[in-house]
Amino acid sequence: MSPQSPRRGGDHYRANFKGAALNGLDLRGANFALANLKECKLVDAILSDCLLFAAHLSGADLTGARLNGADLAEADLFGANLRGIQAENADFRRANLALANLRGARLNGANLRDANLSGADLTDAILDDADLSGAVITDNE
Amino acid sequence: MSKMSERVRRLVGLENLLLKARRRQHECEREGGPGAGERAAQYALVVSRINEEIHSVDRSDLEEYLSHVETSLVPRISRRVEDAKDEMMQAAAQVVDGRHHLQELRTEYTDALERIRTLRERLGRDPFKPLDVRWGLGTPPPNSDRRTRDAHSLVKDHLKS
Repeated sequence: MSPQSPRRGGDHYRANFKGAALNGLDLRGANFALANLKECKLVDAILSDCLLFAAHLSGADLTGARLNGADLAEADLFGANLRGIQAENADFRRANLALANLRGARLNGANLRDANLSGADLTDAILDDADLSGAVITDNE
Repeated sequence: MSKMSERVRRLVGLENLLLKARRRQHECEREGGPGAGERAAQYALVVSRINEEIHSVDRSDLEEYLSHVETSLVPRISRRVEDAKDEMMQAAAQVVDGRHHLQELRTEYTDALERIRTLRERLGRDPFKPLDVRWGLGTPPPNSDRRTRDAHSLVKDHLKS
């Protein structure tokens, strides 16, 4: 765990929050570029407009989190729980979302160009105006 | 690929991250939109921080890394350059085909108009008012992104040359 606690608008470039419980925190606009957020608990956290470029979020639980306008380009979200997230106009280009749970996610206007969605669960996800060009979408069955 | 030490492997990882961050920075600058300027500035900072990390490594690691770049990275990029050139040539060939198709249609349209004119004259009808067909590429749709605008301008330039 990083000695620094994550905060709204904070600079957490390359910080290590692996496995941390950050449920419900208001972290909007923070910089988590290249940060280690593996297996973090971010249930209902507010991450709108955050910079999460190439952040490590594999196995993280982001159920119900708000990610509107966040930038998750190149992020690793392998197997992350993104159930019911609000990620309108968020940027997931080239992100790894393989085996992620995106049930009921609101992804209106999101950019998912060249993202890896292999085996991701998109049941009831809202993808109006989302850009899925070049995205890898395969079933896990 | 030559065998790399753990420290040089880390350096390669940093270089890859640097390329990805730069690419994303350029995307923000190119695509524009709300908050794009601020986002591009954030990426510029990320690029600068990764650069700092890269520059903080010692001389022996840099030498090993240089050897890796020369023997592995440069030939790989060179192959990708050839692939990109092939891609561009294919796209250019499509532009040329498209132009020929437009020219054929224009001839066909002119012939059709001439036939209509002759027939109407013979039948004593008023002259036919032709449709306003827009043969040129025109201007990109309003609010189109930089990429679309660039594509229009590139194709226009190509057709002029």
